[in-house]
Amino acid sequence: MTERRRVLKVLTGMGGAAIVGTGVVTTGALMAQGERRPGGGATEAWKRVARLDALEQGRPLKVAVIGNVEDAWIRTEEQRIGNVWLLRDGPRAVRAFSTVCPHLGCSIDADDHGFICKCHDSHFTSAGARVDGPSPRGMDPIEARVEGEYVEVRYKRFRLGTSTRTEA
Amino acid sequence: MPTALTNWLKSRLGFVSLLREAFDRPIVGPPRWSSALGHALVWLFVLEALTGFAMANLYAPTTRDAWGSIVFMEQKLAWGGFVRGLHYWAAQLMVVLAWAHCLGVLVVAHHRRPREALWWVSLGTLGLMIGAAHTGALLPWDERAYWITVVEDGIIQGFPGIGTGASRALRNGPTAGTPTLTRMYALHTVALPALIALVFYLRGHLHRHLGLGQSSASEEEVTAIAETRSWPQQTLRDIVVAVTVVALAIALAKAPGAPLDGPADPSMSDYPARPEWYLLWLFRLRKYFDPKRELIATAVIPGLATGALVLLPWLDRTRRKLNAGQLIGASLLIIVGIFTGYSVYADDHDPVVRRGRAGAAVRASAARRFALDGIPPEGPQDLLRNHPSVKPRLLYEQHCGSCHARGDAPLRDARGGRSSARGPALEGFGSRGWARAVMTNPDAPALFGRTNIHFMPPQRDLSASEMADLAEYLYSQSIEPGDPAADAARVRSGDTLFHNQCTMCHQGAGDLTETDAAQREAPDLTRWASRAWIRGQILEPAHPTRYGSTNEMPSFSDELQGRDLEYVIDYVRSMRARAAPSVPPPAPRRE
Repeated sequence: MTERRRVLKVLTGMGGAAIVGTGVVTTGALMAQGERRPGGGATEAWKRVARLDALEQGRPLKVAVIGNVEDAWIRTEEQRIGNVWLLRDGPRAVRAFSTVCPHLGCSIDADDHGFICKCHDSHFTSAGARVDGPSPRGMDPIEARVEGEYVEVRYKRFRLGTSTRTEA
Repeated sequence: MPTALTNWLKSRLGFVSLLREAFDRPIVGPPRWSSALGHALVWLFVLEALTGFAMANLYAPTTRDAWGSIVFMEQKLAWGGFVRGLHYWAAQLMVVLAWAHCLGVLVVAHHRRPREALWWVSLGTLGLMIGAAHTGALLPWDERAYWITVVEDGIIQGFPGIGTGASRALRNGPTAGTPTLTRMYALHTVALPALIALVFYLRGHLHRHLGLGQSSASEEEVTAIAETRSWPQQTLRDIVVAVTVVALAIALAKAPGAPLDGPADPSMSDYPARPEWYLLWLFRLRKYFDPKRELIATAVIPGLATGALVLLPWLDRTRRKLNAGQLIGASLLIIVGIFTGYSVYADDHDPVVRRGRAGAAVRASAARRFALDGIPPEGPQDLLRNHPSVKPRLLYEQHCGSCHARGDAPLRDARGGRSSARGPALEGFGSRGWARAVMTNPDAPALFGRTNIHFMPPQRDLSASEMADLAEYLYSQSIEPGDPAADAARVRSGDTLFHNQCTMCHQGAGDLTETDAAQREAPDLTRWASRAWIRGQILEPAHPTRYGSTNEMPSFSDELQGRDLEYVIDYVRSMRARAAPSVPPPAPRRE
């Protein structure tokens, strides 16, 4: 009798565990697939962001990078995938920096002394180098080139919070 | 109620014992107001469940729809704003109550054995309240929600080892987007309420199991308690506290209501992102650690504090009256209070933060106003840029403003850089005043002084009346339907003057001979400053009937088309109402 009850206990436990396990495994498997959805703003293509003559030496210009955004099942065309600060170095020389602060990802603004991230007061020089504040590195450079009358960039995102710069 | 029915319900449903479970729990010691805090949490949870269900009927958890669905509910539906306000404020009060409840437990030393589990349930309640309030704060996907998501995701990514995985799990993918919102929505409406219901159930179970006794009660005494019931003295306190707290939530829901920023906009750079108030102390704490030690503020201190609280039943082994638990509780309250208060104070006195907040408030109210016309299918993020009341100006600033700066713009800007203005200032363009300014001194810096166009001499020989006639004639060229009419007599004499004085250079297409066409230097002013003239200037500024070989302005035929082109023309035309740039008298004639 006690033997049969022991078997019954084990069987009940196993049955319950099997039912809960089925739920946990399938739920977990579905929930862990966020990785598979398309997304992100990195792009291999050069994107035209501004006219060259809109850029003035000594005056940074924030421009939007326009591209198609894929977010799981939503595909939106002609959306802002990111922003860059453009700096003009010479007649046909430009540099670009991501507006994403390398600290925690807030948006970097220009001020009288260079650049500042207002979330946590990281300061950068007008050439994008780190001055002080919590940012672990200078502003992230974005590839930029002049094509005819236009400035083009190749937008990328970088890992946050690390002193070395790696692509996200 | 007839006794027969009551008896039937009692026997079939057992509702009396059900009510007794809820309102007549066993207690030890005198009834206490502090014991009512936990009870009020349950009532607030009921309110949250109802208002939350009501909102879940309208809310759509996608980055395109979230903000719009909330604004719709608030603007178009009766009680929409109130229900959301109630849900928001009840949630904030639940966080406060859960804090107070934990402190109350410490004060009466109910964290000590044998009630360790009850203490953990109280801590768990606080954690779940913060989690629920926090996931809820992200759902509107307004500017605040967006930046909180970005920053906290960044903080989580920084945790060594687990950071990347945890961040991806919460984001539900490689970046913050719609699947992040659906995940937060699922946590907020399904998982967290279920866990909250579970901790409430556990609390009831532990109360029944342990009794709400004095901390000095030994385990033997615990089994012997439960002689006193909460009904009616404690129940009275319970319901008084609950009704007071809900009344407070109702008052706060009416004014100020739940906050809502403008829609999330990743391109904004001046938004001063701050965490919700219950995490502000951590935000302030972080400021005291340099980048290499930042983890101390974001992970080590919160981790140690949580660990200390969880292990408190073992850390606190004294039996003294002022126990370690009370000390830890009081110091936590004081430290968190000081840091929160200081953070609020510092932000309120920071001009950069105030400016950022003022800008966000302007965007929020403009976005709400524009949303009344409906939100485009791409979502609300471009509402502020694409609305007909804003877009013309933005397009002008983007495409035209860097050369056609304001007439009073300094030649050097605030940062000492060379001002980029090269074309004439367009304030008043198309007005009599602008025409007069050009006739007076075309080479003024605010007009053509910084261009290559220096062929026109100042019209010194015109009398004031002749200049007024010419200005009237030129104004008459710009008239479109709906504009105020020009003075017909002046236009007639201006027309004559124009054809005598000006058409040597400013020939109309009809006046043009082939030789002229090659040499012409001044634009055709037929229909000057009309929509068609402005359109031609934007698309083909170097056309022979405009500035020809002297032109420096780029053609915008690639960038501006269709609706956008017409918007820019709208804007240039709207500038006629402004005062034309004031020009200095021309340099003395060289004889």
